[in-house]
This record gives sequence, structure tokens and C-alpha cells, in this order.
Amino acid sequence: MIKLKRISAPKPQKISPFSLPKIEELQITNINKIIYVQKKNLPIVRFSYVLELGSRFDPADKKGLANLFGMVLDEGAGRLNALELKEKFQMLGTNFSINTSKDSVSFSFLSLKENFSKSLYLINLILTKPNFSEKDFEREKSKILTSHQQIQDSADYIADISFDSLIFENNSYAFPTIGIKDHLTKLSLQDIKVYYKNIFKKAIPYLIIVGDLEKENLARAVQTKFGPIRQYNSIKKMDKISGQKKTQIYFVNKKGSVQSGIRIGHINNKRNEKDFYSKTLLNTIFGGQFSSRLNLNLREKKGYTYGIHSSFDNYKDASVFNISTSVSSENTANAIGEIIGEMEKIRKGVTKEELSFAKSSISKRFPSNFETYGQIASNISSIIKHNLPNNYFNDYLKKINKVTLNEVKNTAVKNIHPKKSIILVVGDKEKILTQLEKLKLGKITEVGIFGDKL
Amino acid sequence: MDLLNIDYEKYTLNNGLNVILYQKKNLPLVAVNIWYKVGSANEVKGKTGIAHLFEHMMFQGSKHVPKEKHFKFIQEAGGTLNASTSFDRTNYYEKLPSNYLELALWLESDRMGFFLPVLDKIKLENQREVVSNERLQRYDNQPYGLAWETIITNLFPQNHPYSWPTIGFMEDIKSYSLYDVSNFFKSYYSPSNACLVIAGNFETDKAKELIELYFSEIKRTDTKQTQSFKNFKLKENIFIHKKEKVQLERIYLVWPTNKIFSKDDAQIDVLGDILAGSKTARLNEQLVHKLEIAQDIQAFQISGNFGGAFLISATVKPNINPEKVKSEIFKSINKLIDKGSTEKELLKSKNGIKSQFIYSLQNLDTMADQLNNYNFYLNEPNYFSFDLNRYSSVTEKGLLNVAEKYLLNNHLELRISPEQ
Repeated sequence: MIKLKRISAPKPQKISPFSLPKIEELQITNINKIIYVQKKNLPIVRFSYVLELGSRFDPADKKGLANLFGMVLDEGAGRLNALELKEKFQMLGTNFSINTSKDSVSFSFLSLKENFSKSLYLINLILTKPNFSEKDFEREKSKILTSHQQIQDSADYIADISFDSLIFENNSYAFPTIGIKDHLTKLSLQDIKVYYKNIFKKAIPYLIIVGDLEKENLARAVQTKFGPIRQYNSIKKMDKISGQKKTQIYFVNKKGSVQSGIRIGHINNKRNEKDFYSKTLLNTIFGGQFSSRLNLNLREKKGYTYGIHSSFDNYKDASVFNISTSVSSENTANAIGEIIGEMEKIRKGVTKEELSFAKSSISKRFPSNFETYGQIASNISSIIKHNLPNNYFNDYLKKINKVTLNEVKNTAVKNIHPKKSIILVVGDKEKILTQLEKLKLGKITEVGIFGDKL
Repeated sequence: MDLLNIDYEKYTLNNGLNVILYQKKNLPLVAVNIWYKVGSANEVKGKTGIAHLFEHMMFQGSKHVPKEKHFKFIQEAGGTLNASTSFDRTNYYEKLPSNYLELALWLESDRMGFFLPVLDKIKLENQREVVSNERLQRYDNQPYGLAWETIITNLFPQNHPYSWPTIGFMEDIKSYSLYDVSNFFKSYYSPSNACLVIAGNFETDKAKELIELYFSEIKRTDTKQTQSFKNFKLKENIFIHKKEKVQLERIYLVWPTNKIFSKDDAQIDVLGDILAGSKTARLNEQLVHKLEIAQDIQAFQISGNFGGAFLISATVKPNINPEKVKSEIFKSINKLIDKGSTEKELLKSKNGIKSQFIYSLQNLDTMADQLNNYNFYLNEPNYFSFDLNRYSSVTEKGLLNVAEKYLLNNHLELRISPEQ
């Protein structure tokens, strides 16, 4: 019989074993990289075809090209028109999607095992025999131009887009994936076709497959569908990003706003194995989860916000430290003051308890990061994105648990810069400007909704 | 389908707490999920939103758990947690490494049985601010963010339990007193008004012993009942026009429907799917793809214990007359009613629904919540196969019937146009 003792938290039972899913690399041609994880508990397959051709490679006068290309590519292929093609996927109960980000474009589906081959056939048709009809192109172009107009309504979109624009200045990461209106207007079907022929067809894809499949059959299926692809080797080198010299405040005037969207942060050194683990722990303590310093202060103590979050956003060739929240207009300056205060404070280090909390939370949550087929696929795609070894997750916890208090402090000093930050506010000028002036944190500049100089 | 046949055990403690156990041992995880049979439908006018505010208060600590520690304990154990409030119910859930099951039971039982002794004004004032900000962030400051509130306050009859938003009106959020909060707890948070689901990797005997230990001493109290509400029709069409800070005009068309899991419920869901559930659905094909007069279009039903509504919304493309969009929507509806649906589009819809059922089995917490959902509405947790069957047995005739029965009635129209 166990005795009831409410006064303190019960101790855990003996830990149950967890084995990581086995990540295998299929060698079917010497060009493609195919990562396969066999997962058996459900008759489901998750498939991704990823190309490192994100919007940051859009030419200087064609911002939005990669994204529009993704929208047009699946509008009909082979003998199927746009609607027929989509209907085929639906008949199979397969969820197919194309997603373009700054670093990559990916073609993914989640299908029942019994419909995997048929889904594979369809995705191959899209990749190899797109229709590219003028009518489909014009319709998708008009859609994206309308979306472009619509995002002006959303404080969150405006904040995210203008923050990147201010952070990255003239670097290609500065531009939104959705593109620039004037560029989009000028894009033609010919641009899409040229992109397909000269860039898309020559890029090296990597494939991620998670599901209950026989390895040999899978290799054969993939081999016949996705034969060797010629190497495209003119991936652009990263332009230099200078970073901030001193803290500056920018604001976008969104008249009538009842809240202010806030983003605070700066450029950071690129993801690397040396400080990745201490950054992860640091951010967990600072603003990475509900019980973080930022959230406990600004939400649970002050009540300024519904939530606040910070992260080191790791792009392939850059990293940004980013704090983001929305607060009621009257607390705009108060909230910024508290955030900057927390940034100063964390540079003095964290406590032993905080570090052990963060280590415990990350380590013990580890198995649940591998629960769904999509989670596994997305973990693998980050391995590939950052050129990590296939056994990366095997050593992950060891490296997390080795980080010392001193390392976290040094990491904070090196990677959190309250005096060299961009502070961006999207809100009603009449309600916020006087508040911002009183903060005396730096020069205040009004910018347009895409972070553009007025 | 075997996959969807869930092997569970259900029983009731002496104090009335329902318990459902479902073992699934593929990962060392356990999900704990509690539904309290109280939602915004149980509120009274003037105190709307209190069910949701209360949900926040449940994370503010209880007699043996200091403020801020509820989250910390679970996160330190590697768990994830949250809660949500809807018209009909409030759920609280966490997913943890399986060896921490007892921690979750300790925390859940403490706030079920020992919430009141440590409730205080500071906590209430803090969460009032948080919830006010939640309302601003998720509704007031979002484009079209108040559409839903406008629709339900005008669609449902006065005093209908769905005639106010779950988040609550701002002036009500500002008005709750400590008495309101403690009274709400006493009225609804009895073990006899809740169901605890444990799903995942655990030993049954041990789990039962722990549940008994932590929950059985919590006393049952009388809970308040909310009167059911008869189905209703609109006496005439309702038209509401609002001007807001948006770029594009949006049209909402809404019809009252029926309660959840009632005879027509699944048919109406499929109707929504066939009209606008995908890019190849009728309205999408016609308005977005062919005519290019709408940027996006949705059609779906929401339904609960007290009623339901079917909603179609369309965002009008720039320089297009909204009347054109509206008349095309009605043309499509009338065509469906005249000529019926095709075998193919029905099959397309059913295949999609079947796959989604299987995909949903990936998450332990989703499954735990679904067990509670079925148990709450149908008193039977293992309803997955039956539920899928509701959809796979929808016929062309059945679809036609519900389209005629509901969409030919009076409706509410909300227009949101750009301020000029």
C-alpha cells in the first residue's frame, strides 16, 4: 500500500527505456541523399523531398520567385489539370503540401501505407512533368498579390517581416518569402519556366521517409521515380551581415491597434556544435518555455501579456536572437523596459536550480520529440540543414548535460546584447510614441510596414 | 477497422469521478486528460468568460502546490501541459514520461480538491490582466477577429447558452470578483462532474491504486445544471454590416443547425467538406479557381450539446462586387439541392475523413482527449469506429436532405468591409 502524502511532489518511478528511432541512409545513387526511418506502429508513411532552394536565393529583382514557383508547380502535371491532380491526392486520402521557406522548398505528404506508391507516383509527376499553363500561373500570381495586400492587416505578419528586414538589412535573408509586391507584379510564366529548367532541375534533393516500409522495396520505388539528378553547384555564398552597433527603436504605425506587437533581438553567430547546447539551455531558462524568466515576469507577475517567447532562430547560414510578444498598448514601454532588464540580468548568469531545471526538462522530454511521423521527419531535416551527422541525436543528451553554469553565463554574455538590439514595435503611434521616447533606449525611427525607410 | 477499436477500461470512484484507462506501450509516455463538464454555456450574462478565466486560475497553484509550480513540476519532469475551454467543457491535460504518472495525479487531484484555500486577489488580478491581453491578442487586434462574436451574439436567441463568446466580453472580464471565482469552483468542479483519462504506458493495477489514493478523498458536491435549449429557426434573415480596418471585404453566411452527434450531424460536416473543405470542393472550384472572385472560402459546422451552426465565409478579391460572390455561393447551394452530389465527390470526402482518423492516432494526447470527447457526448469512449462509420455511411440522399432541411431556411449574413 502506498501512503498518501500531499505535502510534497511524489518521486518518479523507475525510468522506462527509450530507444531512438534508427536513422538509415539508403545508398541508391551516389547523388541523392535518402534518409529512412522505419516506424511500425501505424500504417502511415511520411515523405519529404527537400531542396535547399529557399527564397533567400531569389534574384535581387525577383523577390518572391521561389514561393510563387512552389504555388504554380502543383497546378497540374502530366495529363492532369490542377483540380484533377489535387483530386487524385484526395481520393487517396493523402495530405500533400509544398512549403517554401527562406532556406528551402519542400514537397511533403502524409499517406496511408497502402497508398504510398500511388502518392509517390503523383509527387513524381509534379516534379517532372508540371503543366505550367498561363492561366494557372496568372491565377496563382493574383492570389499571392492579394495575400500580399492582406498581410497588412496582421500585426504579427508586419512585425515578423519588418523585424527580419531591419535585422538583416541588405542580406538576402532580409526579404520575406512571400516576396516584394513590385517584383511579383513583373514576374512572368517565363521566369517560372526558366527557374524550373536552370535551377530547380539541377538542385540536389534530399529525401526523408518515415514509415513502415521494407527497405529493399523502398529503395527500388524511389530509384525508379527519382533517378540521378545533376549537380547544381553555384549556391551563393552568404553576404556579410554586419549586426547592430547600438540599440535602436523602430516602430510601424498601425492606427487603431489595441495592442503593440514587440520584437527585440539581434544577429547572432551561426549555429555551431560548440555553443549550441549552452544556447539551448540558456534560452530555455530565459524565454523558451512557460516557466521562463521572461514569461514568469511579464505574464505571471506583471500581467502585461498573454505570453512572451524567445528563441535563437537558426537559419542555415545565419542566426537571430529574437524575443517576441504582444502587449496592451498602454504597457508598451513598461514591457520593453522589463525585457531589456531581463536581458541585462541574464548576462550575470543563471542559478544552479535554473540550469538543473532546464537540463531535466530537455532530457526528460526527449522521447516525446519522436512521437509522430512528422516530428521524426522534421528532426531529420534539421540534421541535414545544419550538416550534422546521422547519429546526432545519440549524443544530444550527453552534450546537454555536460554544460556548466559558467558556460551558460559566458554564452549569455556573448549572445544576448541589450545594448546592441533592434527594438521593433507595431502599434498605434498616438498611443506609443511618447512612451517610447521616455524609455531613452536609443534613436527612434518610424518605418513602413515591411520595415522600409519612410 | 481494428486500429480504431480501442481497448479501454472505465469505472467510477465512490465520489463520482469517472476514470478511463487505455494502455498503449509503444513509447515511455503517459497522457493524463481531465474533462470537467463545464464550459461557457454554463455561464450567466454579465459574467461571461468566467469558465475560461477559471481555467487560468487552475494553474495558479493549490493548497500543496505553490503558484508557478504547477507548470514547473511538469516541465521539469519533461512533460508538456495545457488546458482549453469551449462552449461545453473545460479540459486539462499533460503528457509526461511514464514514470511521472504519479506527479500528474498529485497535481490534478490537488487542484480538484484543494483549490479554494489558496485562492487570492493577487492571483485573480494577475490572470484578469493575462486574459484581457489574450482577448486583445486573439480577437480584438486580429483582422476579422470579432466576426465570430458578432455572429453568435446575433444568431442564437437571447439567453441561448451559445449567444456569447467563450473568451467573454471585456466588461465582464473586468467584473469578476473572488466570490465569482470560488462560487464557480463550488458549482462545477466536483469529482462527480469530471472524467479522468489515462492513456499510454502504465501498469493498470498500479494506476488504479494511485487514482484511488489521490482522488477518492475529494468530496463530491452538488453541481449546477444548465437547462437544455430547443432547436430554433430564424424568423427572418438577419443582415449585419460592419466596417473595420481590413483590406478586403468578407462575407459570412450562417444557418442554425442541430446538436452534436444528432442524426444530421455527420451529414452536415460532409456537406461542409463538399462545399468548401478543399481546393477541389464546389465553392472553391467555382469562386476561387474558375471565376477568381474570392481569395479564400470556408464552410463548416460547429455543434455542441446546446445546438449548432453551419457557416460559410468568403474573402472577396479586390475590385470584385461582393454581391457577385454572395450570389455565386447561393447558386452553388441551389445547384447542389437541385441536382444532388456526385458519387465521386462523396467518396473523395469519405476517403479524406478516413485517413484523418488514422493520422490522428499518432498522438497520445490527441487520443486521450478523443476518449474523453466521446465519453462526454456519448458515454462511450471507444467510439472511433462508430464515429468513422457515421461519415462513411453518409449517402447522396442524406446530403441532399440536410442541405434542403437547413440551407433553405433563414440565415444570418455578416459583412465586414474596409473602412474608407
